[in-house]
Amino acid sequence: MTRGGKNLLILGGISVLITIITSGVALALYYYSGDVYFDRSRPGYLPNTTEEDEEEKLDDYSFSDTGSLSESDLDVYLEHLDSIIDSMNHIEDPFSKKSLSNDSLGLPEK
Amino acid sequence: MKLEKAILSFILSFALVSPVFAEGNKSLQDSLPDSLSDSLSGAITGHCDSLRQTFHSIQVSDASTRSYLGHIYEVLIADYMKPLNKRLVDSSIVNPSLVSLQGEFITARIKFNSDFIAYSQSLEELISIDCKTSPESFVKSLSATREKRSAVSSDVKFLENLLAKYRSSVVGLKKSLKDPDAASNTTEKESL
Repeated sequence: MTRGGKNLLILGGISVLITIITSGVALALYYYSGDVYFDRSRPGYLPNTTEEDEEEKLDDYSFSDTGSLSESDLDVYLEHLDSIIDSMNHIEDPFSKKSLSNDSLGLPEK
Repeated sequence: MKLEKAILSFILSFALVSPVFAEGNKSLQDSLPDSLSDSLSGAITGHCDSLRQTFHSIQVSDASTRSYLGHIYEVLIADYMKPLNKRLVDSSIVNPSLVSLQGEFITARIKFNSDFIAYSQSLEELISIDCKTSPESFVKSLSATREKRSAVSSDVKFLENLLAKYRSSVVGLKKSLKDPDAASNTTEKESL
């Protein structure tokens, strides 16, 4: 093998090694920082169409940050705010104790 | 030859540098609880696989809940609270309660996110435990996970209360815009 060919092989090997190391560090950061728990693109965690539609509805309104403020502006504001509060109330007792209770898990008390 | 030495020392420098990560949770082997009753131990070892499946279902459901609530909190801050406070400033209307509630809401949302991460890490650790061979570790991890889940639940309730207070403040603001004299009289009375 020529000298140039040898050097090319070494360069290729170093590139692969750097890629493995940097990918490993990125994955480790992804897990240790907790970003993995916010990632819904993982298999089994993808949102269904109902969830996507509900989230899109929330983005329909945005209160303008310019201009003077009137009572009618606040009427509309409160109307949309109340619809958001209703959306939150649709989720009954989020992160309740029940899900991990001994009863739900089928475990005896002691 | 010089080039080969340089390349070799470069490769060695990567091999010698080891990544340092923050310490994980305290070892589950420290301070194990008293021995479990036969019925509990038997239930854990006998239903280990179904327990794991249940936890995985909870994980998926919680991810959906967190995503939805997180989106709502972001919308409230970006599309409601911040624009209203900016508009109050532009209109020269003073309302310190709305400003402070915005700050409290943002802080509470950050706490919710970090508590959720801690809870998720605990749940993941719980799922990874082999409950057939280590039921005591399983029980300890389950207890820790329950505490962390309770913290997330408290954060959600706190955010709901803040939102209720915020709504009341906006209603008060609306009344003051409707009747500025009543608002200024109330302020005078409060200062006396």
